[in-house]
Amino acid sequence: MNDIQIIEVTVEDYRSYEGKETFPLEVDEDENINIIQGQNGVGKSNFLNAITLCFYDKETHLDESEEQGLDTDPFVNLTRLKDLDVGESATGSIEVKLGRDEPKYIFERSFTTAKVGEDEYESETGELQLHQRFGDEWKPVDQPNTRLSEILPTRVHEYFFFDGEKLNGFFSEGYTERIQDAILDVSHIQLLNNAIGHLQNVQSDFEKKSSEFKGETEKKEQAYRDAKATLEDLQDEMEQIEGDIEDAEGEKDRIDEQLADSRDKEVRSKQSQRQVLNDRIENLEDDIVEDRMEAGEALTQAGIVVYNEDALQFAKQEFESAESEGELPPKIQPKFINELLERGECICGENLDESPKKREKLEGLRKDVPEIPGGTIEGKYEIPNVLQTAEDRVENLLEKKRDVEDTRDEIRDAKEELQEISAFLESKEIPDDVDVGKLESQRQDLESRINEMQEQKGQLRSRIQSQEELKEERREEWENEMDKEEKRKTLLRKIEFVRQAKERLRDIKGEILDQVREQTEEYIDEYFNTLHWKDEHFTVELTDEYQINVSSPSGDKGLGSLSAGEQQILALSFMASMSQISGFSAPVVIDTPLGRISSDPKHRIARNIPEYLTGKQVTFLMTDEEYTQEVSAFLGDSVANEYKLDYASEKTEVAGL
Amino acid sequence: MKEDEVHSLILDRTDEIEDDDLRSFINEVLTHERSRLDEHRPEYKEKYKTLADDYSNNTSLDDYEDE
Repeated sequence: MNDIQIIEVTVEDYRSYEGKETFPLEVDEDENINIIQGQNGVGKSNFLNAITLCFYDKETHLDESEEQGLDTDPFVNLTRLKDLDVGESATGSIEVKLGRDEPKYIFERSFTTAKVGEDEYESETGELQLHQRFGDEWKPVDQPNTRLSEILPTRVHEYFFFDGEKLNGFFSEGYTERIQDAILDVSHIQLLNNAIGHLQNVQSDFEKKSSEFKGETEKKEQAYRDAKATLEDLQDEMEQIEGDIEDAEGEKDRIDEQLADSRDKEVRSKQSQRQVLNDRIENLEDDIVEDRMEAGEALTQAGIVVYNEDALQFAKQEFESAESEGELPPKIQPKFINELLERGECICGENLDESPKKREKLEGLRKDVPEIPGGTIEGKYEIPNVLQTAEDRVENLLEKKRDVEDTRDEIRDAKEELQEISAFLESKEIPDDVDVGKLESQRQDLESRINEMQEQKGQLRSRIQSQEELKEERREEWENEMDKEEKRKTLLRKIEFVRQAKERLRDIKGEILDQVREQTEEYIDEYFNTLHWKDEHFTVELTDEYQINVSSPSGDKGLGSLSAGEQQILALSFMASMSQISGFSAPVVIDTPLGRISSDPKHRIARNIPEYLTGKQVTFLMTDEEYTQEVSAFLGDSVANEYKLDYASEKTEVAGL
Repeated sequence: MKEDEVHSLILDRTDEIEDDDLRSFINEVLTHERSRLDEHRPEYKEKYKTLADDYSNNTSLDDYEDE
């Protein structure tokens, strides 16, 4: 068989079945039908219920009378329960073997009924168990429901395991909704709906995440560009001012050269002195930088001790006070005291045996010394040293500061001398020589301008430094936004990708619904004409609104005008079309398929049944009225297994035919 | 149709999707859904996010914007 079939069903102590009963049901392509025959009430429906209870933990084919008594009707066979006392329980099981040509899956579910009072029982079922064959080995499967869902999902099973008699009302009011629901069930629309819904959720998650990364890249980039432009302006300004300073210095050098070439000896001498003074000032300014650095280092060294001087002085006083009160011994090693005591001679040379007081003093010291923490004794000696170091360092600091002041004084003196030279030269008028006064005046202006520009340059340097820091800050902010933007782009790409997948599945869903409706119409038409006992051809139409119309050359037949038998085969045709369209290669079990069909059409239907659901294992649970000799004769060549059920002494008896 | 396969009604259509990444992504999603059809609250988010990471990498945002 290409399709999965039921190889065997074994029921043990289930309802009307006492003990273990096994139904081998394996079929092949030619003989694909099983018949289980029995009058109403002998356990036919229990057979169908056993399958759905095993698979889906549900008995879906109860008679109304049985449904009313479901709560009290026990799963375990009543004969088994008779021997139980209240509080005791009994267990039964159902096992269904599935496979194609040989068993591949064994599904099993146990159930327990407990006696809770006289004629009162409570039943419960166990978990579904599954063993699957791998090669020659049978192994338990961890998630049997997942595997079962792959073979035949819960929502679809009712198109494979159903009660023919219950199809009577299939075309009553509201049937279009039932047809639509059935088509949704078998066309895997549920799978598509799940996929679409789940992709929507994933898309929403991505969208939520994306909004977290919504950045201000452009704004931050502009801020960075502005900061960079400002820095470049400042650097240009610096370049300009440095150029101006250089020009002014050049002009000043030119004036100096002219003055140095003066005919007047005094002018040349003053100019020469000025050169010496300028060199000296330059050296002194170098010195002052060095002196300041040294003073800074001295301050660092002295600072920590100076800041703590009060505390150190206090500690020193405390130690002195403690020592004067005899609380602190001098810094004597215990080993040294031991040596004195062993030798019997004090450090002053006196014999200790002759001076018990001194021995007593030494022994007291030996006892006290170890009890005083080492740090305390160390502190007593170290603090004065630290204070002395502080004094030295402060002295060093003061010395360095004096050096700085001295250098400043020297620079000031040198500058005063320069001013005097300048004043002298400015007032100098020498006939037939360069205009010394004018040159000096120009020189002063230049110096003044250079000083101003140097000051501007200093300020500018400071602004450039700040602007460089700002530019770096803006660049980092922009890069952070770029990083966020990159993440956002990645998320947007994923959102669009998932959205496209979702939309494609929506399109597929719509296309499939149209196709399945058309296929359903074709299958119903085919099966209805296969099963119908008349030779004329009927046309079955399934409208967009899921209404069914049946017409024949002799005229249209509304659903209401179809005979009970015709409605029955229309329903069987619909169920068969659903099982075919579903794509699940599962077996079909139909209880009472021809229950409402009168004898003449029944025989004709029976003749056509082998053509119904060819290639699929079909098990019919038939009453004696359905499975007449004529029906048996028509089905004969297609029947693989036949069983006859009887009910006697509160149990179903099974016999092969 | 084998026990764990997605229905040919669906696969026939997904096979027509030209974009390899989109087709593979959709097929993996459907296979995952198929294996959990009867579960009440199946796990899927982490798997689908990882799949979207893997399959959307070859597609630039500009490809969508150009459409």
